[in-house]
Amino acid sequence: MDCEEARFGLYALLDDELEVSKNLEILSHLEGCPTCHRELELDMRVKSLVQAQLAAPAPSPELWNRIVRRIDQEAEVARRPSGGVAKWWPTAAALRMVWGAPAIVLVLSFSLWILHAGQVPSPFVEELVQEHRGSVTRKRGPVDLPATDPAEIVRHFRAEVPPSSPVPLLAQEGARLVGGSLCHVGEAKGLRFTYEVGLGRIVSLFQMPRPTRALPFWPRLGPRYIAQSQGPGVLVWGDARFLYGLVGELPQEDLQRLASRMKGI
Amino acid sequence: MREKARGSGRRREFEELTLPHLGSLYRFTVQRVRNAAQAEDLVQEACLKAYRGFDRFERGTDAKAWLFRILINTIVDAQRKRSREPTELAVEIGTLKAEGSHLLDPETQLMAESLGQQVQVAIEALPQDWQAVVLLSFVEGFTYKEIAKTLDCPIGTVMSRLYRARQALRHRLKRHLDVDPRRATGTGPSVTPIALLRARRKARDKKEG
Ligand SMILES: [Zn+2]
Repeated sequence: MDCEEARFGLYALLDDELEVSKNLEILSHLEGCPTCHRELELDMRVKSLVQAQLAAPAPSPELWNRIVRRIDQEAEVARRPSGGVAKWWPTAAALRMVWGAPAIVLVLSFSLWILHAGQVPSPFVEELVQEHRGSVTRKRGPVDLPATDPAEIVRHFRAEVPPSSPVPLLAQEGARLVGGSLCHVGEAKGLRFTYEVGLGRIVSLFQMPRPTRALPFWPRLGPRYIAQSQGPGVLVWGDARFLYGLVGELPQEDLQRLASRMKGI
Repeated sequence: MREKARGSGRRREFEELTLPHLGSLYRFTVQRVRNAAQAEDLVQEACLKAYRGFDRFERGTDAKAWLFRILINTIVDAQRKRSREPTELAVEIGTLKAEGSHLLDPETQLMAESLGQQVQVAIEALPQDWQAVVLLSFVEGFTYKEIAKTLDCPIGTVMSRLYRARQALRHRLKRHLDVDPRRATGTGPSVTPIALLRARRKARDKKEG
């Protein structure tokens, strides 16, 4: 066996992949060939270096429970006879059924315009609307974390989005929290609280840390920044630390009413 | 009622097959996306996809390869979706992120970082396909055949990717791979390769014969 042949088998040998007879042949070659021996030694070092140095993080102990909960949710919906939308408490799949309808998506294929004449729609507002739309059409369901308490959502994602105090809450009667998700607006991370406001309508309440410097992507915020799209209405405002967005299939006045009664911000 | 019982039996079976690999699935994903919460999301999504397609899983075949295959597709889909975001936007907002350090030139990083971080950077610098092969082979202990099945490619492709990845890693980590033990800074094997391989062969001969 020559060096070329031996080299070919070297990796397989190292990874314990060769049949025994071949193994023997290469071993004999290695004993008499310092060059191949050095090659092998270097490759062993690379492998053990990677194995020793690469961090081995573990998932949170809650991960499997969350997966099982989602599986059960899906199974529950699959068992239910057609629809089930009329229920007061919307399940993930029921929401998907309502909002996933292609016709609605078509209607929603939005063109934004802004009430203030002459202003160009901010990409920030467009992304909020996309996030909102995405939440009701995406495959894995409208929320990452089903929850009825916004504090639970803030706690859950605290590693990703700095917790706020107090926690924002839509306090209007008839608005019920379904759950929360991590959302990405541009490259910024924020939270989306998903509310059901009756008749299967969804309102998304966004909260994200305010950027430390002015960026063209973010709207130049007055006290309130109001936008309307053909589909959902949008209301954006901010305080010193956070930006908030309210997006939903509601008339502008209803959105404003919801926002004005918000607790915690 | 019977349907419900069947459902929970199916779930138990799924759990028995999947739960033992959850740690590996997560570890692999974190390595690829470098973000714990996003990694959990992706693993969750992959598990849900796997459960939905559980009827199509051939019982008795390799669940690990099946799960990783679904996971890798999920990761690739997510990364493709993210890369569609407008780039100038990504750069603009990206500067806000404290964890943007992986954007640095790898050579610059080598100067400042611990050995573990350097290995990390060296792996991240590999093309995605090579990265997957290295992680599956070195970290998860997959055989070539299992990797080929997971990535849906011929064994020859696995071997050539692994070969090239090793060359790249050797180049990038060369100052930690000094064979002279007095100068080596990395943790290398303390026995010579031949001794190790001979011992391994002996053990296998014993088992087989
Ligand atoms: Zn040789």
